[in-house]
Amino acid sequence: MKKFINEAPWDRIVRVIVGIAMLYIGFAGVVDGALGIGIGIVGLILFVTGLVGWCPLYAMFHIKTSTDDSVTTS
Amino acid sequence: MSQTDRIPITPAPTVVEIRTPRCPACAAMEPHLRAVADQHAASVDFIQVDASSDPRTAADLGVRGTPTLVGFRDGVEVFRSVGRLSSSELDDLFTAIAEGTAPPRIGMRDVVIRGVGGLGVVAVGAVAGPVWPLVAIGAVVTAWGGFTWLRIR
Repeated sequence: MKKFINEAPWDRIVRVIVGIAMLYIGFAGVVDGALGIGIGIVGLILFVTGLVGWCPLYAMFHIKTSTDDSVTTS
Repeated sequence: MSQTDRIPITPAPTVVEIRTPRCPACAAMEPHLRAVADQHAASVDFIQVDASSDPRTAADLGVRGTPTLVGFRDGVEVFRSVGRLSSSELDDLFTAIAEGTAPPRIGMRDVVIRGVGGLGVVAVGAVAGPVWPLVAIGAVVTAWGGFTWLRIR
């Protein structure tokens, strides 16, 4: 048993999709240099938090988009 | 689900913590757990079991590590968590037990999100170069989805 999720399913799906898009932009040469790497890293963070369903920033600020009947965990 | 008659589990929503005095994670979680248990005292019974002085109860409950939190409703186990939880996670647990809502657990949704997400990254990595680190990350995530499926099936 791990962390409780604090992201709703739609939140997770959006994070995964946007994360993949940002990974592509960052690491496929669409945007070069430090900006591209930064976009890629942010994309990776979005992607991973979407996969896990738990966002540390949400937890820090006691935010959650999940509801009790839609919770899953990693 | 393990049960024991060595602790007074009533039909009321109950959370049992199995801990040991020398467990650092138990000590770290203790103040948060106390605060959350006090906050939900009107709706959730809270019981602590010291596994070092009462190993039979811990064994009856099938405890393999500490801290373990076991949630009961109507005397039936509905939730189990092993390891340290944050204050907000504890609050979520007590609220779920009190309200009888679905306890957090791995589901098919996690399998789909991880599997499809992983394959998406593999595809992006393959199309964009190929970018092998992305392909590798995608493969690992896809495998994670596979392991998740194996755990829940």
